[in-house]
Amino acid sequence: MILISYWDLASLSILVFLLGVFLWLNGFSKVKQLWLATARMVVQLLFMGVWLSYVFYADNPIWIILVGLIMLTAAGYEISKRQQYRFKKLNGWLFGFLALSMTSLVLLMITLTVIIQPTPWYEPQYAITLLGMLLGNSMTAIGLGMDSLTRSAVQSKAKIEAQLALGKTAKQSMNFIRQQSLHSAMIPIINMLVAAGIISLPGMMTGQILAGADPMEAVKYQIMIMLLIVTSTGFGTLIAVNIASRKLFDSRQRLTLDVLQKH
Amino acid sequence: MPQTETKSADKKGFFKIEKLQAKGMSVAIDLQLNSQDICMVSGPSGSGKSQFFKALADLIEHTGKVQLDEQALQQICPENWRVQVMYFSAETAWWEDMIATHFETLPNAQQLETIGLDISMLNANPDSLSSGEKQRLALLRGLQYQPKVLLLDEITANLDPSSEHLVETMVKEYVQQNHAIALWISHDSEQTQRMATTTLTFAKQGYKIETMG
Repeated sequence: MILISYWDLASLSILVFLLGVFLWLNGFSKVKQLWLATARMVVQLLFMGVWLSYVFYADNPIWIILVGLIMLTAAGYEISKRQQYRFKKLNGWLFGFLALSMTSLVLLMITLTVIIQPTPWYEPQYAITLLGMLLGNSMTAIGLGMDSLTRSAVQSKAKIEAQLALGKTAKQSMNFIRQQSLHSAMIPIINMLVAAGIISLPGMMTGQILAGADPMEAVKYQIMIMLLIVTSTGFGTLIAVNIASRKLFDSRQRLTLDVLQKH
Repeated sequence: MPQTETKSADKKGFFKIEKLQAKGMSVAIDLQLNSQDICMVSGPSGSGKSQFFKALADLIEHTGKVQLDEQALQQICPENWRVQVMYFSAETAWWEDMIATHFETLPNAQQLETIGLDISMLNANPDSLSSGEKQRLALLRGLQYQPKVLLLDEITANLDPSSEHLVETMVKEYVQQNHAIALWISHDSEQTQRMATTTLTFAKQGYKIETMG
């Protein structure tokens, strides 16, 4: 494998700096955010690299659990941060966290113990990398789904209340909104599946091939990961959207939009 | 003479409201209605009339008690309460792309004609109909569930006089045939004259109840 130096990376980052300048000249107002996000990405990945090398050699499950928890928490937080309307209490953050752990985490365990079977089964080389890929994808979809749910609930207040007034349950009244939310969460995933291998070469597969793995073996891993991503994304969104839509109503099934706060 | 006793199906105190108050209402309201009553509700904008109606349908938080036929609101699960005490909003809402899919069972041409509507409207997109047409369709949509109490929030506000009369007749007949009750917010004093057995008038502070002779 051909190694890249830190100087190579530094010179590449000049490109992003230049891009920011050009965007700014064209009236893009969030240049600072772009630069900060890029810097954040670099720092986070470097940190992850250092930490992972430590965890990989330490061979202690406690560290792996800790890394996993931090990743889950951060993903839950990112989900709630991307909402235009957020739940005022910790709830919003918790929905994402719950939905992610109930799907990504469970699927990860099944894959590790039944399919890949490394020894020990929590071998960080597999556990943490797989978890990372599952979380990254599910996070985006769950965030989209919840954003669409809360946003439509606010916009369609009259439509929900009209159904409640006709004696429909809270769940029935939210049906049309839940459908929209699932749609907006799943479409990007379906597009990703369609593009895989023709338009895009998925990151993990590319990485394995770059590292010298046999392309066929890399492809098999990629197919596995795609199947896991679709499953965890779909179920995660279902869980998050269902919990969130229930939390929009009180015990007498009245629509209580004041649990949400606009950001 | 106690006239009410001769009409055996007429229930006294069929719908009881005790100290009901919700956000936006300046005072708590007490009111008792018998079946077949039509209570016309009026008062300045912002006095909390719609909030009062929404509270009665248990669509918003409130304090106080409401009872329908000896059964308290709290004892009935919300969807069963709302199907009996039904709120008809001033602005109708439609959540599907076609009018027909909002109906439990499709109304026939004759039913639609009695309030001046055409059968072709069932296949229309809600956005393509006028607000007056939609108000009448929403009335039909709700009455299919046979509610006991109709909470009508300015449902003839967008109607021409002849359709307005058709709606009034329909509500009157429904109330009589089903021994139901209607509460009706209206700013039209002539409509109040035509319909009311009772009136409830909201003021800045307080309210007034009058029974029509």
